[in-house]
Amino acid sequence: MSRQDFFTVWRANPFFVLEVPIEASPAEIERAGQKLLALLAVGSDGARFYQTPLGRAARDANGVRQALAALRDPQTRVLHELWADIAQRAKQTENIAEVWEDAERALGWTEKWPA
Amino acid sequence: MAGLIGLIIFIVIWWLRGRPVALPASFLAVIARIVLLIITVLAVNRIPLLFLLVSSHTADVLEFILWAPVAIIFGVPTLFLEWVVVPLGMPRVAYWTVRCCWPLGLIKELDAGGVMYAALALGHAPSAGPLFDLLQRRLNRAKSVQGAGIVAIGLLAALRSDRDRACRLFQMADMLDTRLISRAARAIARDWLVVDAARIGNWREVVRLGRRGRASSRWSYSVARIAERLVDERPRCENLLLWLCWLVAPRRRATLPLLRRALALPRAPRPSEPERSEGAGLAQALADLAGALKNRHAQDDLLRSISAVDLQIDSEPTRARIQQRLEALDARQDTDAIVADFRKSLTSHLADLLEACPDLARRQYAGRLIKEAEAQVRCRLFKDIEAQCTDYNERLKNQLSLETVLEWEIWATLRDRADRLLQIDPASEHVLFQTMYIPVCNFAVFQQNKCKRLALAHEMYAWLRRHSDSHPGASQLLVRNIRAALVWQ
Repeated sequence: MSRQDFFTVWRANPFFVLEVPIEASPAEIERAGQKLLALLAVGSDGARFYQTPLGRAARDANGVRQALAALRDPQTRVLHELWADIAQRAKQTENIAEVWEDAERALGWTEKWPA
Repeated sequence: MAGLIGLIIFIVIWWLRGRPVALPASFLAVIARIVLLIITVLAVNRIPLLFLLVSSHTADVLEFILWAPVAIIFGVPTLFLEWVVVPLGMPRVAYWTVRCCWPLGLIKELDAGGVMYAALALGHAPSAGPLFDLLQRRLNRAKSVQGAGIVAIGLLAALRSDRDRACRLFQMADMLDTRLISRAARAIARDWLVVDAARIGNWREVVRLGRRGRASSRWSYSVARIAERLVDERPRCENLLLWLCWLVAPRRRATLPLLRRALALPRAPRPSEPERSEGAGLAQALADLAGALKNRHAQDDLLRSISAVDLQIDSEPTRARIQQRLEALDARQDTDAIVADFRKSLTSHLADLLEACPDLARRQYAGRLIKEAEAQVRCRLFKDIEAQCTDYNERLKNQLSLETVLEWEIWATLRDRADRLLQIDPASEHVLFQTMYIPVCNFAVFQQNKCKRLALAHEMYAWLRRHSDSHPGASQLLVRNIRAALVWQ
């Protein structure tokens, strides 16, 4: 499947990329975007990654520009607000039947397989 | 003994007279092994065990020590490969062992078999290096590519981190006719599939792969029984039987943590997770969906989460919130358009998900969004299949065939698309067969008659035959073609 993973697309939500709350004003969004672009231009390591409720993701200047453009349009912004508003989950009960993390080691393969 | 020597002399004389005897390679390999066994027995008889300890017959002992490893390597090369060469990560030794020792199961495809074991050894080696390209070239040059060849292509794809391609090829190898694939090659393919399913938590697939009745292999069967316990499937295995399965299977040390995990589960049926509250809001529904996506093979949870999101997006509080935000941002669009856009993007994501996990379409909780996604995927898959059938027609018209390895890969992709389509929508079998029958069958005949790729042609006929129940005439023709391909082998 060459198509993008659901999580990858979800993590690229403009609010996550710019690390601004969904109630942020347009001016706050612009400021956050310009600051990130400046940091990326000087090669800041901290700006290259961001945290989302769905896990860590990488960003570049192009992604920041796209996020800014998306949030300038009110309709698109409302849609992204809906996707970005994720409640904190109550601590998940341990699901014992989840994955077998070292399965490939059972075959003796020396490297982890890609997800 | 005298008879055997007589037979060998007879063959040699016939060959020297310029009329070589066309004996099958497997027959020669068996004869060579029998001769080797006789020589080994004679060598052992010359050295009473007692003399191994006292060194009075040093020459005999030395001869025995030199001869024994040769006898083992030539007598049972598969064991030598699986127990020594592959675990030590020695691809070159693996390749040449197959080429020189002629394992019986790989006798019809020694090149491809050599690449298969070399690729397997390469997976155990610290780094692939230039050997990878060398193996790929050797495989491309292989005269015959059957079951071991497919497994070799899959292993090379796995080494390139191309998991999807590897899975497609291993699935095909796992379903191949027993006359086209050795037991060892099939076990490699199946074990890989089992591991791939287990590492992402798709335990139902592990059970399906491992429990094949008489066609089961020890390790995959043992993991399948453990998986049954993990997913709480009936009938569940008793603890003692689980231990026994683990004990008789290989790779016990690696499987032990999984066995312990399964044994630690409570004996009584586990209570199902409580239904999520419908009034928890869209934010909570999205959080639940994100949680369920992390283990997408817990399919009921995932479908419940999708239904909850679908319900919440159309709920009064969500619509009121959208309306409020639109007014605050001075937007001209209405709430319905935003809701429709949200649904559209969710459906598009679900379509990708469904293509990767076709089982979702058949689950109990599959709701409206899944049905919409299903229609999208069906359309996508049909287009892919039609495009490939058109390509087959064009190439047949121009009598154009690609390299054997490439042709196997193309067929594996087409077959995978068709199988996914059937998993999502079993009712489309009739239409799918009508779309594929003529182009694939004609192309298979071309592969058989012109390119002499009998195994590929056989595999194509066999797949079509499995799905030809609604066309008795076509089914009979395919049965005849399958027989013809096997006779030519």
